[in-house]
Amino acid sequence: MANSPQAIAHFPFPFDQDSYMYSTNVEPADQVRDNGMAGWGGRVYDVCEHYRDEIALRNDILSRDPLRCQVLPHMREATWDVVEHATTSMARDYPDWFTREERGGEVRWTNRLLDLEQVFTPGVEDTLPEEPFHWMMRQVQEDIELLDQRGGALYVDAGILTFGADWSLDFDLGMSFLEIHGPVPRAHELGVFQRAHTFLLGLRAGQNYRRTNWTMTVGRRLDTVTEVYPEWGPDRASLTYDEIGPRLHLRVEVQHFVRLPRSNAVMFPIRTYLISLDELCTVPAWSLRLERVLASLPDDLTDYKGLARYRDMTVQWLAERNATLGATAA
Amino acid sequence: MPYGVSMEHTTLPKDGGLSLDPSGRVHVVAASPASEPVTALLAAWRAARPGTIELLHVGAAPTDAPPDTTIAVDTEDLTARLAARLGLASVGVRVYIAGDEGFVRAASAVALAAGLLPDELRTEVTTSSARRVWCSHCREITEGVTTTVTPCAGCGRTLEVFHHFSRRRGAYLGFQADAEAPGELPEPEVAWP
Repeated sequence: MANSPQAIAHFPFPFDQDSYMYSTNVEPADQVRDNGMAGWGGRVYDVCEHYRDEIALRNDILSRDPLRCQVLPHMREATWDVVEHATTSMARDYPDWFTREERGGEVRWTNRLLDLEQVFTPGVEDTLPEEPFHWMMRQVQEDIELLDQRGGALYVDAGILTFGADWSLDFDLGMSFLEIHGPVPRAHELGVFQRAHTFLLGLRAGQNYRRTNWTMTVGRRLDTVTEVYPEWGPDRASLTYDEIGPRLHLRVEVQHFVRLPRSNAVMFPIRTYLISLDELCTVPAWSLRLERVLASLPDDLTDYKGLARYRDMTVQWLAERNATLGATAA
Repeated sequence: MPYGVSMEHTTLPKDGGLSLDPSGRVHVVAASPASEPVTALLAAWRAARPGTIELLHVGAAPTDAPPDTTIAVDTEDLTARLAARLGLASVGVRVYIAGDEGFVRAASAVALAAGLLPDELRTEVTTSSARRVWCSHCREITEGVTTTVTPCAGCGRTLEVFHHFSRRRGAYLGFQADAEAPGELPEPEVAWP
């Protein structure tokens, strides 16, 4: 499951400065973003070399814990919006792997990566083998949250979370956008979520936006939701200096904002990328910048992101590695 | 409380008290017990009479209980009766809930599930502030939690009570306090007596 050199070159390295603070870092999603290497972005659904592995992992998680994917009853129309958006986008962006043919009200969907072919009638649930959102989510690598807009607010009333960074969809389901972000330190005083909320309320169909978020994960582990914290929590305490290169990963989320045309719901796909520090150090500009970002990260954000146990030794590790590499800022 | 967290922006519930909402036409009061704020609410209603009023309560009846009064055997029964009452759709319903924190949150969740908007609900914690805590690992709710660290009634893990609240569940988020280093537990503090 390590990253190939090509995957590393397309990694969404999230820092464009030597320090980090929350900001409303939202930008149009149709552009490829420069990362000093091959760039990233431009597609809402990113199908990569880990596709089959991550789909298999998701299916395994869902079979053990079905509550990772939930749809409140009034979101059924939005789930069909997701099916249309995902199948249309994937067939357009990856024609070798996915085909969508529409004829006489029926859609024939072919997913060659999973050896799957399905004919269905949009809006008619029993033409799919399971509930439409679940069916679609077994074919994308993104976690997707669906926000219902009513009374001037957005509510997370459907979603899937198999690759989440320490939050619980089962607990947060039904909360408003602002409630869900309540525990995040500092960002409210900075007005980050209020601005994002206002922005999302005015989001129009056809104009997709994106932002990044980040943390770190010990081990190449995508499933770090709160439910299974007892499984991944010990990794934070057991990390040793000598293991930092292969075990510690920078975890980056590319989050998209898409207005769905029929239901008027806002779709929020979250794609998670992991890169080990050994892999990251193959790009000297990234390792130098990460050292500076971690060294200057305020203690409350360090705590909130769960980095407190290993931040200092990671800065030291990066400093040694950067000295060896003789890295200079890009 | 963690440094940097803005408490006014967390999901922690805020109780505005039981003042009468004169825009309501059907006032439903659920109280355990019917203490002083409830008596004051009943008096305010009698003075203005904006529509009808119903009282559901546990314990001794107030001297000025309205004709439409139901006595429940305990808070669980009271919550169930409130759910049944709100299942009968009425226009202009306002709900007032008073009692210990656990009852107020569980009954509020019932009212919201019945379709009430947050503005149509008024609450006051009149006795214990002990919390209901949802275990994110086994999904059981532990009632009556007074300390910042507490054993889970479902799986027995030692939970840290986090400053995050779900109105839908009427409960606070709990997660294993020593998941990273077993036995490395924060000192429990009595925070919600």
